[in-house]
This record gives sequence, C-alpha cells and structure tokens, in this order.
Amino acid sequence: MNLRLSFAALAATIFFTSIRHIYRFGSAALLFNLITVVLALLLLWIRARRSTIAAGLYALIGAWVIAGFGIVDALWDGALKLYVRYFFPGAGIFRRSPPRPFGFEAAAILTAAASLFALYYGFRLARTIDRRGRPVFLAVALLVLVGGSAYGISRRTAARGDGVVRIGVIVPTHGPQRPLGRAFVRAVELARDDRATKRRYELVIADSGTTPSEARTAIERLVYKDNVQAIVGGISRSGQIVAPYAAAERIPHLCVCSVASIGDGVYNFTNIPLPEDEATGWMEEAQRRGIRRVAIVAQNYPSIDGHVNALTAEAARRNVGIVYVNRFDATTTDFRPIIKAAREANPDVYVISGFNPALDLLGGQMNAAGIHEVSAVVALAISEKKDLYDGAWYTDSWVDDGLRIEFEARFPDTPFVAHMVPYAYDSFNILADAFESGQDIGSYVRNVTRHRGAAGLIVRSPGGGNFRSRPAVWVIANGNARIEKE
Amino acid sequence: MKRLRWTLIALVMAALLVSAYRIVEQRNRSFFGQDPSASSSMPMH
Repeated sequence: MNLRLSFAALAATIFFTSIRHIYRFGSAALLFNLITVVLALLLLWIRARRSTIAAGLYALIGAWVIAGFGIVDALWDGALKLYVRYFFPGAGIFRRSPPRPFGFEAAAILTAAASLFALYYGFRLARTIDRRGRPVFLAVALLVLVGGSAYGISRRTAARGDGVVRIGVIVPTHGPQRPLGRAFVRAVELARDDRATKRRYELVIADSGTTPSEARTAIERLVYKDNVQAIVGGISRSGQIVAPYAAAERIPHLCVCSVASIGDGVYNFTNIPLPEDEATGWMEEAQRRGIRRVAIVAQNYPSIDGHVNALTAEAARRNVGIVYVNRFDATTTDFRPIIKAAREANPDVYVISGFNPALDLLGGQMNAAGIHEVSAVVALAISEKKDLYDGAWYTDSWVDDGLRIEFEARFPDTPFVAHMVPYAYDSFNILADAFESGQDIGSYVRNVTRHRGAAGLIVRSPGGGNFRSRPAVWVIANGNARIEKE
Repeated sequence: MKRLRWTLIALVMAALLVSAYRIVEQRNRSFFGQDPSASSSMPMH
C-alpha cells in the first residue's frame, strides 16, 4: 500500500513539474514524465524479486525528484517565494524573479504539495522495509534528499551583499536617442569616478532600445539577472516601462524623464524640469523678446507632447497666441508644406522639436526657406548641425561649467548634452549619498528635498515624485550653443 | 476521519490556488497595466 501511494505521489510530483517546466522549455518538458515509467518498472522489479538494488534505485530517484523539483524548485522557489514576497515584501530571503503566468505558479503549488506527500509516503515505505534490506542505498537517498535540498535552497536564496553596490543605468544607446543615451552613460561614469566613496560602485549599463519590448528586456536583465540595487535611467518612454519594475521590486529609480507621472514619490523619482517648468521659462524669455505669436512644429513623442501641451497652456495664461501647430511623425522627410502653412500664420517665432534625423531635416528646410526666427524647448540641444540654427535661442538645463569642461576633456568623442548630463550626474550622486549614509536607501531618497549639484539647485516637494529645477536660456552662435541667461 | 482529512487537504489546496491566482493577477497588473499583450520578455530558463 505504501509503495503504491509513494509511487502515485512521485508520479504526481513529476507530472506537475513537467507542467511547470512547459513554461520554461516548451512541450519537450513533458518528456520528464518518462521518469514515472522508470519508477513503474522499478516498482514491478521490487514486487517480483524484492530486489534491494531496485529499492535503492527507487529511493535515489525519489529523493532526487522530491529534493530537486519538489522542495527546492516548487516549494522554496515557487510557492513559498510567491506568498512570502507578497505578505512580507521586505523579507529579502528570496531572489527576485520576473512576473510569471498563473499556470506556472499553480504548477509549483501542486508540485510542492505532491512532493510533500511523496516524502511522507517515502518515509513510511522505508520504515516497513526489513532492517537488513535498508542498506547504504537508503542512507545515500537520505543524503541526496537533505543535502540536495540544502544546496538547492542556498543557491536560490537572495545573494548576500559583497560590499559592491550595483547601480543599473538604463537608457537607449542606439536609435534616434543614441546621442542622449551615450552622453547619459558617460555622465554617470564621470559621477562615479569623481566621487571618493567608502563603498565600491559598479555600473551595469542596459540599452533600453527603441521599442517597449527592448526596454522590458533591458530592465528585466538589470533587475532579475544583474540584481542591481538602484537604477538611474533616462528618456520618458523607457522610464515608463522601468517604473513598475522599480516599484514592484522596491528599487529606487531616478529617471531623467519629463513625464511627471513616472515619479511616484516612493521608489520612482524624475529629475529634470517638468514641462510646465520649461514652458514657464520659455514664455518668460519669449515675452522679454516681445514675441506675441508662436508657431509650433513638433514630432509626435511623449516628452515632446508634454512640452507642447505645457507651452500651449502657459501661452493662454500669458495672452500669447499659438497661431499654428503641426505634429509630425518621426519618419517625415519633406517639411516644405508644413513650413509653408506655418509661415502663412505669420508667427514671430517657430518653436520646433523632434529627434534626429527629423529635427535637422526640418531645420535645414527652414533654413533653405529663409526662416531664422527659430526657438525650442530643449530640442536644439541635440541637433547635430547647430550651424543650421545660428541666432536661434532655446531653453535647456543650467549646467555647471566645470562639469562641462571635464566631460568634454574626458570624452571628446561624445557630444555634451546639457539636457541629460547634469541630471544623470546628480542622480547618481543622490543615490550614492543614500548608499554612503548607511540608511535604508529608499527612505533616504524619499527624504531628499533639495540637492545642489551639476544642474544647480534641484528641489522636490515632500512626498512628491519630481525633482524640479529652472531651465536657463541658451543661444546658438557660430554653430555653438552657450548659456545666455541663467 | 480519512474522508475529513482529504476534504481538509482539498480545501487548503483550493484556498492556496485561489489566493495564488489573486496574487499573480495583482502583481502582473502592476507590471503590465491593462495591456494584455504586454508580458515579461525574459526567457524562463
């Protein structure tokens, strides 16, 4: 009776394990059930001959299945992890794992339960065997069971700190945002190297690419494979995907992103002027220059949408007319009809925005049309042909000159991007302050409401998710951009 | 007695599975929002 029940419980453990492994390896995982056939043959052998060898093999295979798949994989790394991480999220016992479907977790619960039955009936079976028939085999099986479980659990327990702080750096480093991403990574490297620290900091760079799925792959690698303890990121489209991972895994994430909703004030914080800060700064300068009529030609993109909406709202408050608006797609190459329509609205200035190649195509075609009254919120900073915009002005971050000089000397091949570099630099420093303090990292960052750094003074209202700062006015002369007014 | 024991076991298992379903649903919603096409991209092995 015990033999049959033991076999049934082992067969169930193997079956549910194979279902769980379908999610990992596809339908080939069902071949795992062949072990049940082997166990059944051993069972027949035991019954027919009362063979000690067969009993020993049965015990060994049983111990392996129970320890490896039941106790370690299903009970520890499946069911217990699911419940403990949900009810005691701060426990820090288990390794992080990416979100999985219900079927995967349910199979773990069923496997764990079946393996506990297999263990129970296995012991009952061992007790019924004649003492002389309980040779070394059973001792080895016990060793496999206990040793295997202990080893497996130790391998799947959260790694203990080795004193090195791993900080994930996630930005697009290829595609249209490559100039921003490359400057961002360099800025974080510079911040790390500039700072004398008690702890050692390792930067783990991840390319969030150009699509949501690339961003998802990148953040999952940082969080679940590289086990980073904090994240600095850039570009709103990528930050929107990173933020839920940071919140779910309780990892502080400072994002150089202008979409305010990314900052939840708990684990996610944005660190760049919000669109309304940019719009206020831009409108103040526009009014100082006597501008009353504005045309906007801007690419469709989340952070640009924020700037366009904020400019429109601020213009209405200040009685400045937005006389023309065109939103174009990234693939647009012929801007002449748009430029013609904008000109017919007779604006005092053309506010343009976009990423390359569209940005400089637009700039070139405006130049060719004889239009030089160009301005922007930030966008001109990433132009690769600034000579197209001689005389133009735009708002962008204030930048510490010392940082700029150091950056350009150290990375002559990487264009300095004012809209990224100081915030990336300061974001790393805020996180490093937190780690150096020895306090809980999340609590420390939540308490930072002022930071004076490479972007000047940045402030955050208590509980808010956005570090804010005032932009400066930049002008382009002889193909170079410089701060005209702080 | 035996039947009671198995009934209890079945109830515990049902409770575990239902609660796991709710935990997974809540967790995955926090990751992927309302977009059912979004999902984890990390290989499971």
